[in-house]
Amino acid sequence: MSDAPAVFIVDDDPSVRRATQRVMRAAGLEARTFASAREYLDGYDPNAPGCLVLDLSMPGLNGLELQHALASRGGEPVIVFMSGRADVPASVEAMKGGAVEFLVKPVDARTLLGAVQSALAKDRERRDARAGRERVARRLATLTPREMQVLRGVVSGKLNKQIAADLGTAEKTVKIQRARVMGKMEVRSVAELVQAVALAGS
Amino acid sequence: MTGFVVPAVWSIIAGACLAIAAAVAFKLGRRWASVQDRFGLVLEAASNGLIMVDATGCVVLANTRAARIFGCTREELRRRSIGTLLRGVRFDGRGTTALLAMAGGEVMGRRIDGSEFPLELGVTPIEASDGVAAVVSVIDLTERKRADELLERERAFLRQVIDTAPNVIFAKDRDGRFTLANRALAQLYGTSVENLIGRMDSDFNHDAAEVAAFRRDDLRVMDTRSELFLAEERVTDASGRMHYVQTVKRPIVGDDGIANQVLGVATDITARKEAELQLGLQRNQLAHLSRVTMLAELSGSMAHELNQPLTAILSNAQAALRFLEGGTATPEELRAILEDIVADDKRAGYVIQGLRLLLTKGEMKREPIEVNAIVQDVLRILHSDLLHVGVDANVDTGGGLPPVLGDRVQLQQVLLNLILNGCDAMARSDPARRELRVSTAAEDGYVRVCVADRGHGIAPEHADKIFQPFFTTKDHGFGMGLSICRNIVNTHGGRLWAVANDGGGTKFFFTLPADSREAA
Repeated sequence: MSDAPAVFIVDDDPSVRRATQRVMRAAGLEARTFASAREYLDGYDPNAPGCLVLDLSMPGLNGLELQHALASRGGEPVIVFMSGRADVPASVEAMKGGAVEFLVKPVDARTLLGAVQSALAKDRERRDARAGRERVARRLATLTPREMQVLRGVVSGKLNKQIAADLGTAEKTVKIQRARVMGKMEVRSVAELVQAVALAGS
Repeated sequence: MTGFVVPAVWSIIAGACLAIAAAVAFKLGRRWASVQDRFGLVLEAASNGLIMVDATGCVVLANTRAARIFGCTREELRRRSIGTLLRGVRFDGRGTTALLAMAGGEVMGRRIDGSEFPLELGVTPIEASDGVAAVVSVIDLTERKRADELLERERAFLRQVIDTAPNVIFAKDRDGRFTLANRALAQLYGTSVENLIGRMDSDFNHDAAEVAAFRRDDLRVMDTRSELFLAEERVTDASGRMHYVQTVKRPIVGDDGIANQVLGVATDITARKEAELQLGLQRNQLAHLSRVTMLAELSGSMAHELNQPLTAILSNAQAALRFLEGGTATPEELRAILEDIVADDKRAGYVIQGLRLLLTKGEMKREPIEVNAIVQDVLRILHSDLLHVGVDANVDTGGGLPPVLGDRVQLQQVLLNLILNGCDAMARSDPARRELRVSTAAEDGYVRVCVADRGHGIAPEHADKIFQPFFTTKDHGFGMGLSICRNIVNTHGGRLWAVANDGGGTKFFFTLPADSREAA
């Protein structure tokens, strides 16, 4: 697993595959090639950052089928589709499945690189978001059940007195527990806490 | 001529006999009675009617045959003037002169009952002591006349038959001169039947090659004394227009066993030939139309086929530019890129070439063709179309196939059509079952190609209709594909048929005869 994002090129045409890889390398991007959807699927690593440049029509699994197969494995690959024909139904399906771009061959290098750059950015965003979510989830996991109850109260905008009444405890106790929640969640304000919880719930 | 010579000779012989008999009788007077008996025997034995007349033209003696000719007895003939027996003979007392004037010719005889009939007359003047001045020989021509007329009628009838016949009928001798010709030949050569007799082909036909071919065939027929059938030969008519004829030539063998004449009958097949050519032309046009229609359907995948190399070329060139701009270009990298560009350009050219070939409009060619190469060509053309419809194509090309003689484009068309039909048939099949199998094999002097699909198959009630024009079960398509395919295969001397595929779908087979020239 590499931390540097890569462009994964899946195309059954060896010549197109090589040429696309060169375009990526010329732009300073790391590119890896796969001769078939199956080959890519077999070595698929959901944690590898990057995006897919995927040919639509290929023998065996075609581009759309690969998109479905990846989705069913819980992956969220960012895909730039390339197709020899302006196939409207296929492009609609691809975009619905989360494709960033549907390009018709022959594709200008600038257009392709533009699509790949925005795909990589989207992948980065997604990965960042996921990392944030995971961070919040990890922190939430450290809370005791009582602290979780306090957290719910705080997030729903209740005062300490109201929370204490709800839980049948002293306001002072709630105040201490509340400070502990803020500390464990590594937030300094209620606003930050709400944001973190919202992120985790998304 | 012979008809006149024979009785003349006979009358001379008969006359000579009589003269000898008379001379003998004169010299041997004593034995007269016996001589007269012999004389009577000679008279009766003659095959002609014989009448002896005296200087006044009176019948002295006649044989039974003569009496029968004139419809009476020998006695009734005796003493009668010869003038009453012949029309137009007047005796003026100058002996046999008038008779002699008529000798050797045909005159009208007059029977006792007054009826007249054609008669051939021979007269031999003799000198005899008993006053006999001439021996007249008579032959009744009634029967012969009737036979001659019959013959003439038959001849005229036959003449009419050969002149009415639309076929050219002729006979020629060893020198190539016409001994018989009918009106059809006269019309062809722009002359009359009479004018043809005794003349040669070269007098009317200015195409030396044709005349030489006729002559060669004529001599061959006479020399081998065997019939010759010419399925198709050319003959140029008087106006310079070319005709196609089918000719039978047969030797006319004489009693000596030698064939000195050749009889020929030629049927003009120009109209049929032109109709065939027209049909062939229409068939070619139809096949072309069908190809164009098919290509229109394929245009999407053809574009894709072109797009692949164009995409690679564009990307390679742009990558090279970026490497150069970024100062990261290495000669090795640039060389690899340029090599790929060259290869892809060639690949694009190949696609266009294939397209252009299929769009070619023209007459059917006959050249040696490797069937397996046709299969590969067609699968290359259909590559992206098969991908598009999700059909998995398996090829099983047999080894050691003999070449076939045919038209590459048309054979590609047949295969294209069958494969596209197979794909259409599987359009609604389970994607996992969209399998198409193309196989080739050598079989008894033929190459057999099979296209098997796993589609919906052919409904039994459609089995005998699918090859008919304008029959289709598809929403699109004009129902000509299979009809044209069968036509193409038939024209190549092969067969096209369909059977159900075991386990669903249809198998189309076609055979093409191996190029026998190659095998020889």
